[in-house]
Amino acid sequence: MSMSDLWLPSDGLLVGDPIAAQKIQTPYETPNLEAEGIRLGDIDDDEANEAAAALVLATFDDDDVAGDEPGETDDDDEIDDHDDDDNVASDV
Amino acid sequence: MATQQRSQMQPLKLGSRSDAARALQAATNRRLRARGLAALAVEENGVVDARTLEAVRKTAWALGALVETYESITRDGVIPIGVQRMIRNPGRRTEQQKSRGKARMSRLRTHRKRRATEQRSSRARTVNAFLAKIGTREQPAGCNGGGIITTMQTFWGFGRVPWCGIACGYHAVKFGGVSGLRSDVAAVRAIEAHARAGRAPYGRWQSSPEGALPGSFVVIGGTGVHVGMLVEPLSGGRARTVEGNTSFGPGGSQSNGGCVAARIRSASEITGVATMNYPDGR
Repeated sequence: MSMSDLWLPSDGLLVGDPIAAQKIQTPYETPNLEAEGIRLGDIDDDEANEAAAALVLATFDDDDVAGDEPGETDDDDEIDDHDDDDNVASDV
Repeated sequence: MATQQRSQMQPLKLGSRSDAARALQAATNRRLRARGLAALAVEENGVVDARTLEAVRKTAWALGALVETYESITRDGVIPIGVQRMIRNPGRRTEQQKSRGKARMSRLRTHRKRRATEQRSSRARTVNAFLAKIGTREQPAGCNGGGIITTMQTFWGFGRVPWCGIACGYHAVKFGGVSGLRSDVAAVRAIEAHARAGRAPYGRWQSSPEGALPGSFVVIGGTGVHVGMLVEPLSGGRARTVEGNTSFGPGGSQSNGGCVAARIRSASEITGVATMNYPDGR
């Protein structure tokens, strides 16, 4: 992939679409779709988004380095499925 | 008996429905709750849907699975037997998996504690909602749409067009409550022009991310090329960003890569930063 492919100008693709170009040249504020009863499929739960975001940020750090808080969890040694007595393979 | 059970265990595929999937969803929810992540719990309906895959991927990370293992879950749409076993029986993990899981949980708790004071700000809500979508891809690949991407385009009244600016604008308005942003947020050139002119709700234009607050828009790769949202400024003029329509790494298209990804952008990649006015000023 060439540098020009890697950094293809997004605007060049956008204004190639005549309808999109019109919406850019004559901009408007977003219609309030939810007030019109149109539900947008997104997660509005701040707690869920905060938890997911924190997890994403934690994945950026060195994988074997602990933070400042304890890492133990109550179920670290739990066995729920007693019918399965195999250990988890080391390549998981 | 255990041998019979083992022979029945199968990889669980996206779209399938089974009792094994329901049991795994229940176990996943128990692990998430035990780790203070109850908000990420899924419906226990026995269907392996995208949310189940994502919850299982996060749980596997928290339990110490290898990077390749947990990343394969959403990439391939398959939950391997080893991951199912790890989630249902965390006590049967190797010492290395347990140790890795503890280190990850420690880091996660540290991040959450550090950010706890910011969580109620409109900027934090905005960045969190964008970060929570990491892993999203166009479906089918290259179509400029699908799922939440189509939702963001619909929000602004667009069809399937390049969506880096659309994603930034969507999160700033919907989650940050930024008012006055208009449909030309889809164009990177317009974002830069408005910021340079100091037109509200854009704040000002600055050449470096230094001192900029999370939720600012970072123009990347040159005028009119690409834009992402600032997560945090880093040393040396770099920035951690969350971006729509890029690639997960440097090898794919940076400005039309079809994914929501977190990136670290170097000073040489950053064209400038449009600070944004959020309603609570923080």
